Amino acid sequence: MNRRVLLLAVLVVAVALIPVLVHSDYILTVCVTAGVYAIVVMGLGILLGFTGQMSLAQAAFFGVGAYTSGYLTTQLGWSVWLGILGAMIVTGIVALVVGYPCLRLSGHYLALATIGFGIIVQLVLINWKGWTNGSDGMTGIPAPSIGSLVLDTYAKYFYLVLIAVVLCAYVAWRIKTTRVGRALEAIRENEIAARACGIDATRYKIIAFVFAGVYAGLAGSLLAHSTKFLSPDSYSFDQSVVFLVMLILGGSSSIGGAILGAVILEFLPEVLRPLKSSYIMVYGAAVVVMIIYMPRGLAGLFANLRRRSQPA
Amino acid sequence: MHLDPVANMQLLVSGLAIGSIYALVALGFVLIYNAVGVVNFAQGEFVMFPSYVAATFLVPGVTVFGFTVNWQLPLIAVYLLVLVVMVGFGLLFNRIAYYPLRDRGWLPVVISTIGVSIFLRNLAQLTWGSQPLLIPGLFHVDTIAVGPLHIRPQDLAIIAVTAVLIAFQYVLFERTTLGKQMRATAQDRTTARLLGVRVGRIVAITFVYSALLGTISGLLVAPLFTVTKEMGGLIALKAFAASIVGGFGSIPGAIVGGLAIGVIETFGGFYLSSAYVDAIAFVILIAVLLVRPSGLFGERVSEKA
Amino acid sequence: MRLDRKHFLVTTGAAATGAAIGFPAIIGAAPEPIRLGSIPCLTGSNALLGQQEHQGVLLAVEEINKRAGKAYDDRPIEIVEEDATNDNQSAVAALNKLLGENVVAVVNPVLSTQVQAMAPVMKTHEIPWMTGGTAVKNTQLGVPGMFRLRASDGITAAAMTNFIITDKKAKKVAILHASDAFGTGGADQVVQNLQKHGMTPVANEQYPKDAKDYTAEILKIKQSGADGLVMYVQNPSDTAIILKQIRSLGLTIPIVGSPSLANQTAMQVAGKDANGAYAGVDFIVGFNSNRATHFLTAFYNRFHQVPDVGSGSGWVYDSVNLLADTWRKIKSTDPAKTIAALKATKGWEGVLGTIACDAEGNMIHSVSIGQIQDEKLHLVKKVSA
Repeated sequence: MNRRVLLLAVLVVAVALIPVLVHSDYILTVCVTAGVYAIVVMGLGILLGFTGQMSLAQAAFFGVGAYTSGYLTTQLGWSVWLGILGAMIVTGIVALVVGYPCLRLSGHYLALATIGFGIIVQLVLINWKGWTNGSDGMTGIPAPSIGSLVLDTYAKYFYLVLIAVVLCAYVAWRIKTTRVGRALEAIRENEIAARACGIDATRYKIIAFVFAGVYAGLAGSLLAHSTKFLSPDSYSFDQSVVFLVMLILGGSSSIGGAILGAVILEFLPEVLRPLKSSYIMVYGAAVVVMIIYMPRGLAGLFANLRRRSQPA
Repeated sequence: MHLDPVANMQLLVSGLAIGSIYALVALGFVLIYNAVGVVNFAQGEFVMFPSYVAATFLVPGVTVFGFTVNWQLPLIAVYLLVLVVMVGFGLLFNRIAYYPLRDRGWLPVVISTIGVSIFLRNLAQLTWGSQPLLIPGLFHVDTIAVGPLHIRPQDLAIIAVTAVLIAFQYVLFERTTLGKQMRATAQDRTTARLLGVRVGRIVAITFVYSALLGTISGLLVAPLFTVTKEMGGLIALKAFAASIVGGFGSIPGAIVGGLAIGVIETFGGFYLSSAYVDAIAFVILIAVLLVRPSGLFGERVSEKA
Repeated sequence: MRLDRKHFLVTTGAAATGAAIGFPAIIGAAPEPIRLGSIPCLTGSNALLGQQEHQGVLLAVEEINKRAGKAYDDRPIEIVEEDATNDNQSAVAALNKLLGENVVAVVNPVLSTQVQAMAPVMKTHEIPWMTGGTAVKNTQLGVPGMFRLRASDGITAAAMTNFIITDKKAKKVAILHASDAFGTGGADQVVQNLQKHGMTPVANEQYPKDAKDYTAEILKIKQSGADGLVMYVQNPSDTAIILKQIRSLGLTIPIVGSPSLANQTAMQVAGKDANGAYAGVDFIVGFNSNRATHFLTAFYNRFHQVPDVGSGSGWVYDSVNLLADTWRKIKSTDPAKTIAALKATKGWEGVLGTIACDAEGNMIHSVSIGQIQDEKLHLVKKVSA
């Protein structure tokens, strides 16, 4: 265990060195985006990986978080930190309200209900112009600052996102390894049996759904203060699908897998850019190949490598 | 706004036409779901791809890989050709996107169909460019006036073809050995295998049949909607909704669900708000699901693993 | 990375100094290419626009590199192109990639949302940025090097509205628009212009993205008793389908659309159903300047298709040529000098018309109203702002 903590600490320090070694704004933008997506995907991991409940509404919560934060800071003049907190609270409440009825459904029915919710949220962002400024988008979102230090460069923002990723991973790990996590796992494996054992499955499923929402809300808010511009087209059904693919390819019940899935799939199209117009096509093919040849996702692949590297 | 009977009739015709398309594509979803228990996220590309193939042989001066071709073959010949091509497409799709993952549950298959969908959309752009293409329909006139109504013959053809296909599917499933084997596979694969059904083959046939349903939908709507790489996306999403609201796995459910969504959307767009039309459809769907969690026609059984 | 940039600054500086004191070429080395960034959306749902922009940039650069002296002092232009996709996040990443590759100017994008998403990044990079997004507020974002090579929606919407009221004698105007930034922004401008005439739209219908059936919207417009329709729709496939359904549902009132209505692809797909419709476009239809005639011929010879002048290839072709002419004039690609020189542009003749820069960086100030007949746009009237 201690060795593992040490290993993780080394890893975090190594990642923290990236802005010191790399000065390209381009690579740092992609890193910031990847980190933000990793938070969304970890949230989805709590819901789908730990609890076995499908959601295709992550992009919607992502958007609710971004817009809440944008509204609070630009219209009400709140500080960015309060904006981020507000975004988490609002997405949590929305997740509670949506999750309560929807989680009576399961499987494909739940998937469709969450798709429907996602589409409705996007339409609200487009049409509720007084709050969101509609399709035109919201501009002038401020960057956060600590005292006199304004996090206005990608390098500085990188550290904020890194801290958020580490905290979110820690919270997810706490959930996984405590009673809540075991209850969620019991629901994933067999809901009827879990109920028979006295687990209040509905309550735990809603807890997982709210966590997924809050994670996405935090991530949306973080990205809003980095890009400083929001428009509704970023929070589409397709974006939810991207988050799902990231999670499954990463390894759905693994926290490290969720992060790795987000990072690799965010970097993959960038790496493929030199292929010019065919790069997104190759990306699609790569998704198929990865899902076929990596049955337990990237997390599983790494676990296999580690096992092989250890002497028998 | 006053209630205008002519407008209502007009809305009904349009609603039924677009609803028929949802129903056709929903049938494709349901077939695959029944056979292998997964949702095919590339179902929209089953509509888009054949439409492009058809456009290649029908549209004057279409560019394929940057080469301008001018085949303009007869419509019927192209229809047959596209159907043949799509038989191969269905087999290939099964082999690549489903078969390697057949023992791995539904999520991996969903992801692989998503990958194929991304691949096909961008393959289409690379092959045929980004220009929307318009293929000819079955009729030379666009509209006929029936009293005060303006009816598009193509809409009537869509409704008629859907009706014929539903009847065909009924006969196939109820009266033929193949259909019975497909149903047996859908209900319980292990038992079907024990009874001597060649399950792998039946699954392959199901994918082919689903691809053909997509093809027919594509050939019918492309003259009205133009061929673009995104043409199948929203249709497939609505069709998925249709199949769920009807009760996933239920064929009558898919048909009723499809028609209902088409009609609700068209009337909702007129009487409520066209800006929120997609929300109207989904709000009703979610409401239906909450009242009857297994859909209108679904049986109360747990989902397949 | 760092080293490259330093090296680059030194060499361009040297080239500029060399040029200034009358030594056109650096001895012993081929003239260094000018790196021009271009960021069209090559994949995703707006790929058609992106493709046209790609072709427009390519044509302009090929021509410049073939002419004597190339851009200036024998320096050719090298295109550095990245795909803006159709998503803001990737667009910003792509822009940062371009900026990291030492480009001296950026051409594109045309989507207003992408322009706004990129604006915070461009604020910190003072290099010329030639954009095509028509939303009024784009040029008010405070980006120092931003120029708009197309008419803003303010000008176009005013011309369209005035035309339908004054020339077409419409008393009840209906609006049909897409739900994207282009559609809603344009519709807002139309509403404002109607108000100037003391009118409100009798119907203002917005259709959702990817809609394929417009029966509800068209019937509502029909029922509203409108005698004129203004359309703000960017997607050529949507435009064509709407025009077809308007005809098949028997709506016969005059239609005037945004520049995209007269998009070459939209006109081709809509065919005879587009006949008679008007469009407000930001180039002068049938404007037989040498540049416009040359562009149309050269484009067709190069790509074997008719260019989309307004929203597609014309404005980027103008952008690149204006940049090259400016560099040639000041014998430098120094960003600050180029921006200053661009701001002083007056009476430069482009494909889209005569270009002059205002305080906000708007380059085009006149539009024309054309009427579609057999897949061609015919001039009805010119309108100057």
